[in-house]
Amino acid sequence: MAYRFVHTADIHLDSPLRTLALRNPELSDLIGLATRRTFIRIVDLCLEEQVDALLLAGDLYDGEQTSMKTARFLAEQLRRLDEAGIQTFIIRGNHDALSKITSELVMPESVKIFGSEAEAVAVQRSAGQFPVVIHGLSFAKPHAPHSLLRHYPMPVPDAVNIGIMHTSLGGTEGHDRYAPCNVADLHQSGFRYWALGHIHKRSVAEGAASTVVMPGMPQGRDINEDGPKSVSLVTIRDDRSLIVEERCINVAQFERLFIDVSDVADWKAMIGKVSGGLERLRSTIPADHLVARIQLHGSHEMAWRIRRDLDLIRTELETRGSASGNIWIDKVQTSCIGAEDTEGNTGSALSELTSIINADVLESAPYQQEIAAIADELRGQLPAELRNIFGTDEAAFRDVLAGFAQEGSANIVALLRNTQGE
Amino acid sequence: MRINRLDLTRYGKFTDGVLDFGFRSIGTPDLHIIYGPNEAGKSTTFDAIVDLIFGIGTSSRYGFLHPYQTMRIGADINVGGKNREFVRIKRPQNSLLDDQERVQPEIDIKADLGGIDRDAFATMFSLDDESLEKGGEGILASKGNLGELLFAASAGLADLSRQLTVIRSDADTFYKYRARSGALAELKGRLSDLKQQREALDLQASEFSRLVVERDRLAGLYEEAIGARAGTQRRIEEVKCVLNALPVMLRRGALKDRLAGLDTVPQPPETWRQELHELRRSEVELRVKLQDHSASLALLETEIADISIDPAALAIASQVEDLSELRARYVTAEKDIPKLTARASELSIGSILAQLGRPGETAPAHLLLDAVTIGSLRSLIGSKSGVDAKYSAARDELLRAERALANQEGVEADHALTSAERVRAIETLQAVIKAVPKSDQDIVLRSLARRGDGARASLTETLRTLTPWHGEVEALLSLVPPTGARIESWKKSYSTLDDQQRISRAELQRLELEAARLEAEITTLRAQAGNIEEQAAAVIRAERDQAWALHRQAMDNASADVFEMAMRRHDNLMSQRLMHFADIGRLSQLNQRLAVVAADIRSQEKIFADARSELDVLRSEVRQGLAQSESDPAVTENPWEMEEWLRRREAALRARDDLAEIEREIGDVRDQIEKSRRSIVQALTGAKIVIDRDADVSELLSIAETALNAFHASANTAAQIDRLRNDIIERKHILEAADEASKTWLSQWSALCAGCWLRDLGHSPGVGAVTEILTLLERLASALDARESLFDRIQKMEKDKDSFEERVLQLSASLDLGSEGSPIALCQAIFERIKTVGLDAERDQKLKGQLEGVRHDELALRATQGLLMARMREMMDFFGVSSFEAVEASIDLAYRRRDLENSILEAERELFEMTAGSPMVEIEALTASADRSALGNELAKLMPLLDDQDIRCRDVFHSRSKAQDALDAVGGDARVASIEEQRRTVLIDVEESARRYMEIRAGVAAAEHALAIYRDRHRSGMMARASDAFRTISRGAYQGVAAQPGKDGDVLIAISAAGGSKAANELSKGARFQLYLALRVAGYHEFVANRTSIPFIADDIMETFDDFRAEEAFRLFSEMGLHGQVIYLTHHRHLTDIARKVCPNVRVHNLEDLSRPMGFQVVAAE
Repeated sequence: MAYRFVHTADIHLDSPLRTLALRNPELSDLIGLATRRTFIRIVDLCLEEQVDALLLAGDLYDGEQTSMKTARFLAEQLRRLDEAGIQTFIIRGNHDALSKITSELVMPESVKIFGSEAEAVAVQRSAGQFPVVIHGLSFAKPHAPHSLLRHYPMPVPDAVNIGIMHTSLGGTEGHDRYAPCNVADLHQSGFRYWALGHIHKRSVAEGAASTVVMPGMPQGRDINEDGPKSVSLVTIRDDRSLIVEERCINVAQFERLFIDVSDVADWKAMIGKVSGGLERLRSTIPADHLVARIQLHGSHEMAWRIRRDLDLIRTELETRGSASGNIWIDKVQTSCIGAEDTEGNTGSALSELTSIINADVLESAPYQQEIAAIADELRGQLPAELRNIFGTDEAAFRDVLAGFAQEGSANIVALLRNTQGE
Repeated sequence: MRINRLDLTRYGKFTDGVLDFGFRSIGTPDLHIIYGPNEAGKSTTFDAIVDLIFGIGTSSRYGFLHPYQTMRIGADINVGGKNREFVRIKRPQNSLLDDQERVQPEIDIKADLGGIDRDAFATMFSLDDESLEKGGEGILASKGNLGELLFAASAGLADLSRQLTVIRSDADTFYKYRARSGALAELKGRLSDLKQQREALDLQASEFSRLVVERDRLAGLYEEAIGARAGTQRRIEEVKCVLNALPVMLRRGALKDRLAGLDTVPQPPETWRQELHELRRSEVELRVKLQDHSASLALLETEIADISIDPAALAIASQVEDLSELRARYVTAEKDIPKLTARASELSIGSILAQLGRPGETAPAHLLLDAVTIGSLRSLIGSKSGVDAKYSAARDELLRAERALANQEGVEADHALTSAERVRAIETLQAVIKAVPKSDQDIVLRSLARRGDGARASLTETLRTLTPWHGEVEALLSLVPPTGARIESWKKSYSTLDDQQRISRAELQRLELEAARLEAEITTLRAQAGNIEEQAAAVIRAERDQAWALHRQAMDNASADVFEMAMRRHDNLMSQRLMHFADIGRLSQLNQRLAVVAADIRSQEKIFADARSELDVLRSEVRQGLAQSESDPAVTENPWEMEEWLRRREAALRARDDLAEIEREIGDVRDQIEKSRRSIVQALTGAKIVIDRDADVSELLSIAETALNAFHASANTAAQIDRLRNDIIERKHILEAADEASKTWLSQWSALCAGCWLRDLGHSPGVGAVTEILTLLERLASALDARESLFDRIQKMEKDKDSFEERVLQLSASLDLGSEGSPIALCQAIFERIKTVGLDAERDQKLKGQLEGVRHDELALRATQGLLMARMREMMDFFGVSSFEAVEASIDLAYRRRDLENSILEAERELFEMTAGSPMVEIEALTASADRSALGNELAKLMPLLDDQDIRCRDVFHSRSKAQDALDAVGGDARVASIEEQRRTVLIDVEESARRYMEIRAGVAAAEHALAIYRDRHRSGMMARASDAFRTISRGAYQGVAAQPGKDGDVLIAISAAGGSKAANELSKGARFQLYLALRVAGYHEFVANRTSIPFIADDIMETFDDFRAEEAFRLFSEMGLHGQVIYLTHHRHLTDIARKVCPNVRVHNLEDLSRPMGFQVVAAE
């Protein structure tokens, strides 16, 4: 009889979504607590598919997550699996390495949380079925500079060995290096399936005798975790061949939408084009909700107007999006440049002013001092969590300020054009 | 950029207006004044320029005359260094065309504008009253801020700083230094709110583990407290148990003693006591009942013996019914027999017989007739009257017919008249008369004759109109008239020729007059000027030449003289001709004319003659038109007259035809009359009526009618007599038939009467008698019937009476009642006897039934008594006693013993329960050793201890529950996560807002820095120009302007002629306008200094200026005109003069001329 399990990781339970779209209370009701909703769906999936086990390869929750309510929620959900006779295998990752809440919690019998010593758990199987052994190890510290592979025991002969490991593999951009190891080593380790965790983007490496799966997180939390998110439904058949199915179950999906406005005729057409792009994007993603960041680019004579009225565009798109169904706007950004700017127009006083700003002001010391003072003053007033938004060191600070100056002066020119030009 | 020409093709009130500004003249100011009174279209012109460059707005207000689709502005514009033609039409896209109607890119016309849009153009390069005023106010508002003023003047960005302030204030809504409110503060407030909420709800992991430890400790404590309390409780129970058991033990001892004192008897069954009681009561009851039954039996037997029954009466009891019916009939008969007898005697058979005339008839029934006889009699009686009536009627008719014939017999008919031959002749005559027309032929003839006379007269008259033609009518017919076409052709030719002739004549007259006039004029001229005509000159010249030639040959004095003379004459003529040079021309003109006129006269005469000859030919043709002999006079030469004559001829011929028609009709009528007369005469002769053969028709007709009337009268009479004779014969037949019918009836009647007793009456009785007899016979028959029925009823009644009496006597004999008394009384006695015997039998039967019941009851009672005695004996055997009383005593004793035993058991059970099931032996031991007072003391001490332990238990339990609750309260709900998410969103919001704040601040700061740099760059040049301009326009009242450091930067001050300074905002209103104008002028110079020039348009801004200032203002414009095109629109004519004075080559364009179709005139100032 086949052995089936669901493999996921990096759930980051109760880690909030980070998008301004949530300011909309309606949306907050729909997609708030998305990590929770997604976890419930994972459990639902296990029950529907009547799998034998659920494998959680680390980062169940964030390290700062210390609410026992989260733990209780987890326990409740795992109890549902327990009642259905489905086992759960958990290892800790870098985020929940030191998590207290797991240890405080009384888990159902069928839940196995691997400790800091590697263990091999033989799964109870009926007579005549191939034996399954699951190996796991929870490294006890948030940082693991070396590979953990050597800590895993040797695979049990004649059994299907499944390893659960939290690792950054070769190291991926945007993630700390954690227990690095390479796929080739894993392929040669004699394990039939490696259930990995840590990297938020899905990747599957099929070897001759071994399949290594990094399932990615099941629910993105902000625009940097965009794209489709899923879990793996794995079936090991009686001939020990293995099928990995990807199942999208996320509640909300973050996506960036780039729109070139160069060829639109007027404002209405531009809104139409963006709206159409959103609709197309929406039709391609399976998640219930789309949270989109719209980035307008290209050159158009309306560029200044676009810049000035970004909030109007946002409102318009929000209205259309919610009307057409579950499209939400994270942010609207523009990098459009005016058509006349490209033609080197220098006629009006305003354009002279603009060129003065670009040529003489932005780089000037007094100006930079002024905005640095403004930023310092503001920084003092921000909540402690946000003290670092202007950069943590001097160079970053300067870069951030240069960005403000660039954007800000462009905005101002757009605004002045508004009053002068229309 | 410069506008060379502006075409207001279809725009506003303009149609095909052209403003030609000409080409730029180098070295002189390019200044234009467009003059036009109010409503001439100055503003329209200005807007047209703007619309040309930037397009006509979607809702332009200049479509009132020319609709939007047709609006059109054109221009020749110097742009990008080239002169180009542009056309602007109104449509959303591609509205810029060139003069070939090809679409042009918008950028082409805006090439020199450098990105200036419509409004900027309007503010920077135009100036009107309103903007001047606003500018002045701006100076006041700026408090003289130099940078703002200069910048505003040059670029029209008057309120840039204010805008920056507004934008900056937007940032301030997020955060402002030292401000307590603001979005940031609000968001921070929300953050801390959320944090508090979270803390209130959440349970952290560390707190959770502390709670677990506490809960476990409390659980231990609780266990201990429960144990201690349980020990105490147990001891209290023990003590209480002993104390309670003591009194019960004592009671038990006492009961046992009493039981030992009673005898032992066998225990009877439980029910026996009750049963014994029942048995005794039943025994007594049975005894009494048996005695009662014996008494009843005796009484009943006695009663039965006392009853005796009459057997004879009993035997006849069944006949009572019959007897009573017989009695009822007897009574009825007694009453009815006399009545019926009386009625039978009342029937009147005797009188009927008397009426029939047979009073002695013994068997009246024999008189009755059978139904056949009566029916036949009745039938004959009915038909008698009809037979009689027919007979008499036939007789009367016959008599009347015979009388009528007798009357006619006297008039004998003329049988000759009615012979067949004659009748035929008469019928023929009648037909002829009918066929002759009744109308009066004479009247017709007379009328026709009158019409004939009229026609003849008319013919004569028409013939007379044909003069000069004479002749018979028939001759007219032989004339062949020309065809209509021919006449038409003649008419046409005739009138043409006639006209020709008349015109020629008139022309000739005119030409002759002309010739005469010319000749007169020539004559006069010749008279005045002498013979100076060319011919004369040629003669003299020829003479001179000849003389010269002669002289050349001769070369002598004579020839010289001759030549001299000739020369002199020639000279004279020449001088004469010179003197009358004009006359010569005139004369030759006149001669020419005269020659022409003479030629004309000749040709006209020829035409006239031709026409006349042609006309003559035509006339002769017309004359010959009627083909007739030459001898006849010609009818006419004129075709119209010819036509008329032909019409008259037609009329004459028509008159002739009419006359012929009338004469024919008269002939017809006469023929008809003659024919009628002949046929009448023939018919009359056929009828052998003597007539005068010459009589006319009407006479003949009257004779014929008389004859016809006579014939008809005699024919009628003969027919009447024939009819009467036939009638009489018919009547006689009818009378015979009626007589036969009468006889037949009489024989039938006699036969019928003879067949019945009626014959006995001796003769055949009359119809009336028989009718009466029949009626009486009917009455007799019914009377006989009634008498028979009455006799029958009386007989039956008598029979009933007899049978009743017989029966009564028979019965009374059987009852020994004797036969005395009336049958009714006897009958009554019999009834009495039978009734008595019935009553006795009934009573006897009832008593016997009662006796049987009593005997049955007695048997049952005896059986019950036996059972009872058996049961009593059984009980006595049980106790071994012999009396009932002894049984009772034994039972009582047995019950008392049992009660005591029960009480002892009860006490023991109580003890058992108190000691929770200890065996009696232990209880006895325990109670035996118990010290009651010691135990009481112990109990008193234990009670408070238990209370304390109770409280302790409760407290510990409560604490433990609370700890558990706290742990249980940590649900898996999402509230904390949700709050956390909200907090995260607020943080992102803050972050986003902070970025935006920074961007605004950075942007505003950049703009402010840039603005300062911009002003610095433009300041010095503009200051100098503004200073100059201000001095010029204020006519030296101010030296100029200067900058002076002030509180918020440099301040603009005006320096007066005397060297005094005045802040810009302190200037008078007029001076402020001038200052603003000066600044604008400076701004324009500043603009054109670096870029291609752009037209500057001012619209009547000098309303408030006096002439001197206006002059200076024009001086400034003229200076600007050196750099670019300046257009000044005005409705003040005197300003044009001022402008001319300042700038002699200013070009003035009059808008009023523009509207004229001939177009527009440029009036140069030279």
